[in-house]
Amino acid sequence: MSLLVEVNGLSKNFGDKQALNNVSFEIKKGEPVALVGPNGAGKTTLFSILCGYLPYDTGNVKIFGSSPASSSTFNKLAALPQDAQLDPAYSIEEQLKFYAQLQGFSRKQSVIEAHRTLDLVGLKDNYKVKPLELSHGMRKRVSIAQSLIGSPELIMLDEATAGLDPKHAKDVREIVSRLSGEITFVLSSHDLSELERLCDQVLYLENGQLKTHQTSISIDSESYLTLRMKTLDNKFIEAVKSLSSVTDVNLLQGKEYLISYDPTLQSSPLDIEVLRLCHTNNWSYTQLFNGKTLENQLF
Amino acid sequence: MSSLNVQRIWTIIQFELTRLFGSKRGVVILGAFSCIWFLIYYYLISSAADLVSSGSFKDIVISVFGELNLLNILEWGIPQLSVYWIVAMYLLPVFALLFSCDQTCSDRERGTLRFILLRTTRSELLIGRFIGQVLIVSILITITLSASLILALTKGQSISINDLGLACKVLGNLILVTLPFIASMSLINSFVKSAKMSIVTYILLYVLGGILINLLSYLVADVSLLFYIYPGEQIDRVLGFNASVFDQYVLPTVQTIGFMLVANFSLKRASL
Repeated sequence: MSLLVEVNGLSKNFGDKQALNNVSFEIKKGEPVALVGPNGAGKTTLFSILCGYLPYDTGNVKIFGSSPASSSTFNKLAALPQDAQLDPAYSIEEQLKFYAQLQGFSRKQSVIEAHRTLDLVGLKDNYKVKPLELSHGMRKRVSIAQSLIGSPELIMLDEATAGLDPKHAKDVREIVSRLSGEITFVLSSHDLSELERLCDQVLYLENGQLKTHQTSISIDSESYLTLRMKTLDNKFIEAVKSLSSVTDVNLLQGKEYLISYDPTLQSSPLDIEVLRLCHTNNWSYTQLFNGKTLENQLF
Repeated sequence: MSSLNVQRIWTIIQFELTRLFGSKRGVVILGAFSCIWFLIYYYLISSAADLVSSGSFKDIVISVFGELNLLNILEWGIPQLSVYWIVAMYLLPVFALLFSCDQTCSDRERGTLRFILLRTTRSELLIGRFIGQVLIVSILITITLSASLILALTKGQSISINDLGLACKVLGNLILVTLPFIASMSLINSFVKSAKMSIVTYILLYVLGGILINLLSYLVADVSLLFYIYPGEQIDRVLGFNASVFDQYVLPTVQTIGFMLVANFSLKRASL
């Protein structure tokens, strides 16, 4: 599997504040990668360094085997930088055409490409509109459209769905999901359920340090089930604990239970047994998650 | 500035040209520029040209132009061109500064550069935007120069091939004079955050730098050589159209290259 990003011992300081501290990881071609962490953890700094917007102090960063912002990354790396805005003087079509031409498209092809990407994000009727005439969410969609120009191999989306209405946030998730086979996405978001749905690998940053680097979110899926109920019942924990392979049941936040089990003790699949138990006792559930949710894994 | 891609630079130049000639804001700026130059022609160049060509004031004009080492210009066949040359020499650098004061700073502050720099290098962007501004200013100089020739025609002057050759020399010299001003703005743009700030920074550097060099020149003999860094330092000497090759060509070219190299160094290290 080809290596897209290679980061070794990366550190970056802003004055006295250490934004990134000895961060090392690799991203290979494949499933989307989630970049998670609290505010100020260093996610945007990491994005900015990978895109070549920020110089770094120490360490080694390679994108497609070259330094960030090297011309060999053009047409391969695309990004949605957080808070970056388009030029208010030009229509969104003109700007996307310009970007396409910089990527090597002819004048004629650049028009087709600008329209294709704007159509992808649902802005078919707004080609000639200037950015300031668009809502915040629509401007965000234009920014996502520019990242889809050409055929990039790696797209980094910093808070791609923040500020979008649910329909268009869903559209963006569908685009990511649909293109995931051919493009590797790196997604930063505070919406963990969104990342859970899309990503297979998680980079968890906290205080500038990479705390977790899991190659699969569902790493714990063989020993945990997370069950979200509609209502709580006092008998639930005892009833589930009585199942042969269950080792522990804990009530988490809200109406969510974390069921720990030993897969070697299963006589039949535990998820089927748990659902049967719910059905028998007339307990309504809203969601059954195989493994720990990303939120429960990280926090 | 390693491995520059000409195609990308040309794309950036074309986009820059549309900023002035293809946008409402550009048309408004062009309108304001035309109004200012109309007033200059109507009240200054036209009447001054009449004065220069008038027989009754000839002795006074020769005396004044002689004092200013401008006798060479008096011999030009078109007095409107002579006056235009003097006026343009002092006014066009100011216009060049105003037109080129927002090469990269607004885009950097807004974040637009982050979209662009995923597709082109910082050096290519710097050069593309610089050449774009040079072309814009060159087009404006050509328009105003043509207007002075048209003014001469309306006054009944005839324009020979030699006069047209002279007009081309004037055009070339004026473009050369404005280059360091545009390049100095490329440099200032690499570290300020807005067009207004770039103008303020230029004025501060010009005034404070001048005062500092003058003060230091009392202490250190050769410090006044630092004035050669200043764009337009040679204007007074070039005005007579008989300046040395150094003043006319070498100094503005070296200044421009110097400013662009420092701008490239600064922009490459800038955080976006």
